[in-house]
Amino acid sequence: MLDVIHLTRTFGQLTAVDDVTFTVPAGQMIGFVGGNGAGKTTTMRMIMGLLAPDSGQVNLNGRPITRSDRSRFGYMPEERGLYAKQPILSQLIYLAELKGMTRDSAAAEASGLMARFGLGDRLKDKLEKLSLGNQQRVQIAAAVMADPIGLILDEPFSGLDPKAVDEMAGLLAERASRGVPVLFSSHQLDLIDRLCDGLVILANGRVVAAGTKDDLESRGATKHRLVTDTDAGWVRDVPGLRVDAVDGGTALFEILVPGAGDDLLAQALQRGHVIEFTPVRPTLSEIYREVTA
Amino acid sequence: MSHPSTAQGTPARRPAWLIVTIREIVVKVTDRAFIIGTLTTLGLIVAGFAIGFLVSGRAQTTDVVVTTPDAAALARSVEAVAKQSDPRSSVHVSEASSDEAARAQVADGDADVYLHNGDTGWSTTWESESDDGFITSLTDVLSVQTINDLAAQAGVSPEQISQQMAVNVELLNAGGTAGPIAFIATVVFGVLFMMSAMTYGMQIATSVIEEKQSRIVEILVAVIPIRELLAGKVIANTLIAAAQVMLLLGAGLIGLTFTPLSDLLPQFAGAAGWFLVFFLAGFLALACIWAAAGALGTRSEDLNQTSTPLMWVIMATYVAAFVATGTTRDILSFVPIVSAVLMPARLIDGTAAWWEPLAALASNLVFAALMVLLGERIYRRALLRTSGRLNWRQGLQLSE
Repeated sequence: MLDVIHLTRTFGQLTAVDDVTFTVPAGQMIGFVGGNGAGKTTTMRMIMGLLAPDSGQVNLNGRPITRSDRSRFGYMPEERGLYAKQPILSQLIYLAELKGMTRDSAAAEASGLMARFGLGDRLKDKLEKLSLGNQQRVQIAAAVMADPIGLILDEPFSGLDPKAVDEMAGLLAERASRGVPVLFSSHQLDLIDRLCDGLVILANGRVVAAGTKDDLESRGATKHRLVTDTDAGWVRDVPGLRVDAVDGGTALFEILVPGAGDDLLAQALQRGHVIEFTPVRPTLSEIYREVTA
Repeated sequence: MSHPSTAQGTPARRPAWLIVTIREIVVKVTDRAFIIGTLTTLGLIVAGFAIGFLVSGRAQTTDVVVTTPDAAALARSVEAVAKQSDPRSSVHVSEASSDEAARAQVADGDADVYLHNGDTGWSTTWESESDDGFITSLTDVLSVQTINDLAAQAGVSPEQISQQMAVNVELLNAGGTAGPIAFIATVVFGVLFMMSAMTYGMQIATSVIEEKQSRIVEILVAVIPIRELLAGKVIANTLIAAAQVMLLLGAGLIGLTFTPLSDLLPQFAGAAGWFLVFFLAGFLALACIWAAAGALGTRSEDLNQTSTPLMWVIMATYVAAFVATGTTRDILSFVPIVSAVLMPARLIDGTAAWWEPLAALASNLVFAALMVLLGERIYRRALLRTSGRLNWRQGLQLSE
């Protein structure tokens, strides 16, 4: 379990990260969301010890994270970084050796991962010869090698096609299932929606929302939608409701008084056929827009 | 999950700095440009000596054609004298049947010279150009023979004559000015120092900035201590630089054995050994500063600015090697970095006492230690700054 506790960091006048606290539970994938300049990268760099926090701390399994803990993390920086002119196998081995693997086992794991990504015949190619998508695969492979005890990935999926995203997401899910806490940032809310066990939303350096998807979805008022075969204008007159919109036979509203929904449904059945009466949970995008507004 | 980590203290594995060192060396020695560059330099040295050897070798073999046994004997005496000034010169003697045949051989180029005794004394007949070296040797032989004959007639021994003819040379200020050989050695050391220090210093800076620019440095620094990353780089490049300097010096010394200067080989080899030691100390002093120069930039282009002070130091060393004389030279031979060129040069011209190279080396090592600390400090603090190029003043003021 990785705990980020009251992390704060300023650059001159700017407070890039302001009292940020959240948890990445063991075995869970947590999405880190926020606009450009929200403080995601700064937070990740502090978790990895690349930047000293002004205050606050990072704990791993309940005690302050150490240099040796971090040396066993898999980390993927915001701007991609590997040696462009070195063959991919040799640099994967190099990075894994630095993490403590023996040369032979590093070679075996690197070859296995590359084969899995369909790059098995390109081990001796220089990184720069690969397409950007394939370079990204190698980058992710570098992060997940050597049995990391935590994964911190800054925008791991940017620039990948949907098939590659699925491949990489599968890989990360495997690592998470071994009990590794995984934190990754992304702008792609649909991806976070699909992959994550929970998310942390950052805006202007502060956490504006955090929790599981269910938590977040249910924290806002749940709305309901009614679809009938007649004009639904009458819904505006039903007491105990706040109507958001009516369009033909469809009405979207919030139930303010318990029981008001039952009255509405009874009326609707008297007026004609009820095609749909359903709660509408906000999408992540909606929650995101709401909390970052 | 089994994981060979330092934290768990499981099987001994290579320390991080060594892994970095190995990578730097492997990447370098498998780099085509590096291999070609080294082989080219080596080739130029070998070619230089080979050409010198061939050119001088051709001029020193003289084909002499004679018609009488007297002339043949004289030609052999000439060879003996010529060999005293250059062991590789030789005289090849062939006999022709007649005066006409001998002249024909010279005219056709089959022989260089026709040596014969005319009415007024010995004569040499050449095709179009005479060889001064041969004539000088011949004149020496004839002078000695004549003096010996006259001495015998006068009842004086040849030894007495030669004693009277000998001129003693006395130097009041021996070694006060560098001789031509010491000067050549200074130039060679100067060029070698400048070339290697710049190439490998720049290599360190480039390798640092490449890692910074590609951001792989973030991955590396998250995994291993910055100090080990720096140590690996500096050690690797120092080793490669030393190996290349050794290779070039070795080629030069081997080449030297084929030249008339081969007598000076022990002196040159000794000085070359000292140069290597001083080069290492001087290079080490600058290596971490080079790494700092790399860390101050964010893109390769920034090296033009951040490496300027280093370029000045190296150029100054190079210029000092040529310009400095007398007391200035003696003093500079104790100044770190400059001493790498001047102290070995002083050893060649024999003006340095036994303790002087040791003292210079000690001051160099102390300086190197300080520079390593300074360079490491700037490198460590500037390495993760990605917001544009820093200057040296800013680099020194950075906090952790």
